Parts: sequence; C-alpha cells; structure tokens
Amino acid sequence: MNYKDYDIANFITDEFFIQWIKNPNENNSHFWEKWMEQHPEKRAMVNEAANLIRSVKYAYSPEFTDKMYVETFEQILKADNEQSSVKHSKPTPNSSSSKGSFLSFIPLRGIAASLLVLFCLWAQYEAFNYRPEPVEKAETSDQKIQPVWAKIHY
Amino acid sequence: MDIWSAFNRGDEFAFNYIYRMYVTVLFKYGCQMCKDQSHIQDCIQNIFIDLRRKRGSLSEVQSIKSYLFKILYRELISKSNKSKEEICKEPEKIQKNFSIEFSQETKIIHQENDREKFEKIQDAINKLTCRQRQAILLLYEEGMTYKEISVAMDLNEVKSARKVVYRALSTLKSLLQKK
Repeated sequence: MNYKDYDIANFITDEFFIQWIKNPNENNSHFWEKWMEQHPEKRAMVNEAANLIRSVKYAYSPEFTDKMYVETFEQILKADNEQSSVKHSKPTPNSSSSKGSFLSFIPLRGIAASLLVLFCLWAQYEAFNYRPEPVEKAETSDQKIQPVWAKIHY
Repeated sequence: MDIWSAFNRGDEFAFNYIYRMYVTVLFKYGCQMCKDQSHIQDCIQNIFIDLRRKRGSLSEVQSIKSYLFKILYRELISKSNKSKEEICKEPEKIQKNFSIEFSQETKIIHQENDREKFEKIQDAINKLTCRQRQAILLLYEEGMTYKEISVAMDLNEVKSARKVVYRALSTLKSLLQKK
C-alpha cells in the first residue's frame, strides 16, 4: 500500500512514520516533508496521527534524581575497583602467596629482611648444588612469590 | 554499534556515554514493572556492574537501548521469581504495570466532537492488556522500532511484536476512523 492510501490506523502503526515523529533525523524528515508537499490533502490526517503518537505517555513517571544518578554511577565504579583489586593483585608481600601474607603479619621489617637474605642464600645454595630441573623450579617459584628477591638473587 | 564495541574494549568514555544516555530511561522503564524505586536503582546498578565485568566478551548488539531494556526486564523477572507472563498477569498489577496516560494538549481538543473521541480512546487504552500496553509504550513513548520492541520484550520474532501492537490498536481503529 502506498502512503497516499494510508488511513490513520496505518500511519500510527508504520515504523517509518513513527520514527519521524519520535526520532526525527535527516533521512526521515527529508522524506516526509517532501511527501507532505505532494499530498497536502493528507496533512490533517498526518497531524492527527502525530498527535496520537505524542499523546501516549507513561502514567507513572518518577524522576531519576541527580542524587540517584551520581550514587549509582559511583557504586558501579566502586564495584569495579573492588573486583580489580582481587583480580589483578599487585606483587606486594600481602597478596597472592601464603608466604607473602605471612610476611605481612611480622611487625618488624628487619626480621622480614633477614628472612629474605637467608632465603636468598638458601636459593643460591640450591642453584649451585642441584640438577637443572629443580633449579628452574626453585627459581620460578622464587620469582612468583617475591620479585624483589629475584632481583637480589640475580 | 560503534559505542558498544568501544565499551566492550574497555573504553571509559563509551561507558560514560552509555550510562548518561540510558540510565534515566532505564529507570523510568523499570518503574513500570515495580514501584520500588530503590530496587530498580539496585537492579540498574547490578546490570552495569555485570556488563563492565563482561567487557571483552560482550556480544554485539544492534540497539543498546532495547538490549538494556531486555536485561532490566529479565533482571526484574528473576528477582521477583515471576515469569514473563506473571509479571503482567497478577490481578492487582494489571492496572498498575505499564499504565498509560493519554494526554493530548488541551488546546488541540477545541471541539466537543474531539473531546468525546479523546475520552473514548482513553477508555479503550485502559482496557488493553498489560503486554499490549508495554508494547504501545515502547512504540510511542520510547519511539522503538518493532525489531527493538521484540528485543526489549524478549520475543523471538519481530512478527510477534507487530502482532501485539496490531491487536492493541485494532480496538482503537474503529474509534479513530469515525470523524
């Protein structure tokens, strides 16, 4: 059916027509304005259809307040940070390995430092005395637990 | 949709844009199904948190708005332990959910004839089912296409969305054609 044969019920169910009323853009406006020029006899019907479309509203339309807007946004980003702190754990002593979290409980840095030195000495001793395979293992696990030691070690 | 793939890549500007563009309409839409505003707020918050977590593996969407409407709709249904039909079928909710206000500007209704017609339309709208009102609101208040309506209402086919709208408007047709 051509638009010129449309009755009002056709207009109010036509997607392209509704889009022109609700979301006018260059394309649909261009078309409908040209069409209206060619069909002035349809002007009243088009106006009525447009009015009907615009008249349908939510009966209940509470406001999303600025407070809610800001609050929700902040909560979304906060959840993001909470998750990323678990997911991308930094190589600090109090994360990832049990050895690391154990270290975090020791109050004196000195004790931790001396333990590190002892461990490094032991690791070095291991490196010199064992076959290649276990050496590799010791080194990699060493690196995982505490990258700082690795630096000292090499 | 470009914005959506940028969001999927982790672009924060894309997220800000999506939030700014859609959070208010999402809230209004949610309020058509549940009157507990803070519950709607929580649901919307969870939807965005969830989407952000899934960045990198989100599937493409044709219309961000209708996709967001769909997931909010699903979220509200799952939270209320009701099926899609039930959220509309509960007797006490029939008149409350997706209620339509048919409000023409008073200056347009200058003739007695028009006023009568207007009141009849309002009556006919009040007699629509909840699903019909939902579709009509998506079509006229939200300005969605039939494709978008089918996504938002979680229907498998565009045809089904058309059917709901046509059926709703068939009762109005006779009123409209009277001069």
